[in-house]
Amino acid sequence: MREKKLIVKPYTEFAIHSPRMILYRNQEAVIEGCKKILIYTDNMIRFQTKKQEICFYGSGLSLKSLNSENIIITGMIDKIEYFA
Amino acid sequence: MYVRMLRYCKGTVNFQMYGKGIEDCLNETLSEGIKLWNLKQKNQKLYGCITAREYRAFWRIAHKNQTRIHMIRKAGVPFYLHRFFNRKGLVLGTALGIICLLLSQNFIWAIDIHDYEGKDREYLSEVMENHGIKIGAYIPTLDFRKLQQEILMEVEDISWMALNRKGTVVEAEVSEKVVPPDIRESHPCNVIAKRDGQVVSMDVYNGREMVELKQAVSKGDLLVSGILDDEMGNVRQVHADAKVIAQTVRTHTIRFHLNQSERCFLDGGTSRRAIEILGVRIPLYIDFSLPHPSDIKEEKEELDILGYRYPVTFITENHHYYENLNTEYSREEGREIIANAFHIYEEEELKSIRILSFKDQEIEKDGVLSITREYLCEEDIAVKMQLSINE
Repeated sequence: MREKKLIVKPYTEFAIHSPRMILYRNQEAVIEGCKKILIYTDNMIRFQTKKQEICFYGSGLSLKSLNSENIIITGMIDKIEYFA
Repeated sequence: MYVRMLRYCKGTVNFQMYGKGIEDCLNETLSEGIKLWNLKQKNQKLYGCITAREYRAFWRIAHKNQTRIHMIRKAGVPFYLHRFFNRKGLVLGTALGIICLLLSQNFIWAIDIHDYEGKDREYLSEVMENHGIKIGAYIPTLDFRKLQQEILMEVEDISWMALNRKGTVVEAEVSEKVVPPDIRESHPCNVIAKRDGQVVSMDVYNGREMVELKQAVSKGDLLVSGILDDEMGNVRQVHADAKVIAQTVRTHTIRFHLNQSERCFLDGGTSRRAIEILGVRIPLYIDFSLPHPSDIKEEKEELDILGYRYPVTFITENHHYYENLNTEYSREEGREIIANAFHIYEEEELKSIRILSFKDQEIEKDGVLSITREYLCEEDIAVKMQLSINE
């Protein structure tokens, strides 16, 4: 019987440079790799990553933390949209 | 929790931001690496927080992007301390206080002498002071090991001494010298005369008597020998003991100035206070003059808080006024005063001696009345002297 070989895929450029987003229910989102904030209102936050734009819709949205490494969005997140 | 503490230490600024280019301002802030937190939109205005150090750069970015920014609240250690920087006296006082506290650790605050019930505690303190161990002395210049040896050599009634420094307190541990009896009962000795005199009676308890009754003896003469020999020619050394009563002559002179300047104490007096810090005395009064000459008695109270002594002593000077009165005594009065003095002398100094008679000789010269009294006494003149082994 032939043994199955465990194949470990190396990290690709995609995995390193693409934005990473962590959601805690619909109340908090941590986004890494954010380039630019395009629109910031109480109901909508839209920002630019390397290759696409991401838009958060909801109510009472605020930026808990804003620095060059990550952005933390808090509030009631209703919808997330991606724009190519 | 830790993040909040860190932010408090750095100092935080709560700001309000409004205008056209809020997003541009935030993006430029991001690219500059400035951190913001708790950003909230409310009534077309953005509220947030920033560290105090980064606020100036943030303000510049906002100004460039035509955004208006206002500081709402500032909190944290830098702002708290900044309040005190304007109060120069407070800052200076605190700094001076810290410097004084640090410097004062190099000085002796208190000296404790342990295990010394000796006759002269003040003498020991005085000797220590002469060697530089006193309140307010600069500790780094003191070599305690050397000093304890020097003090040990100077003060005769201590056999051992250790000077230990516990912070700013110097503890002197002392062992008193136990002087052994001059001659033990088992040691052989002679009995000799301690004064010139004529032997009246002899009670020899041990030894061989060397003088006879009514014989005149001089100081140091052998009265009873501690060396005995028997008929066989054997020599034996014994502890000689005897009571030898002899008639002796003693003289004592007392002088009295007939013109005396005496202190007459008045009813009035005053109390003054002073404070002594590290051996430096600071009077707590301005008027140094006194209406009369005064006799000063000082009451000292050392500062002691929770069992710790500090180099601060509160001193109360009690001045008791007096006047100098010149009194001229007659010869009769002088004689009477001298007679009283002789009475006291006889009571104290000659109490173990039987006075048979006395004869006075009186001289007055330059206003000084001098009476010399010659006593004829009966006293025990026996004193023991140890025999050396070779003897």
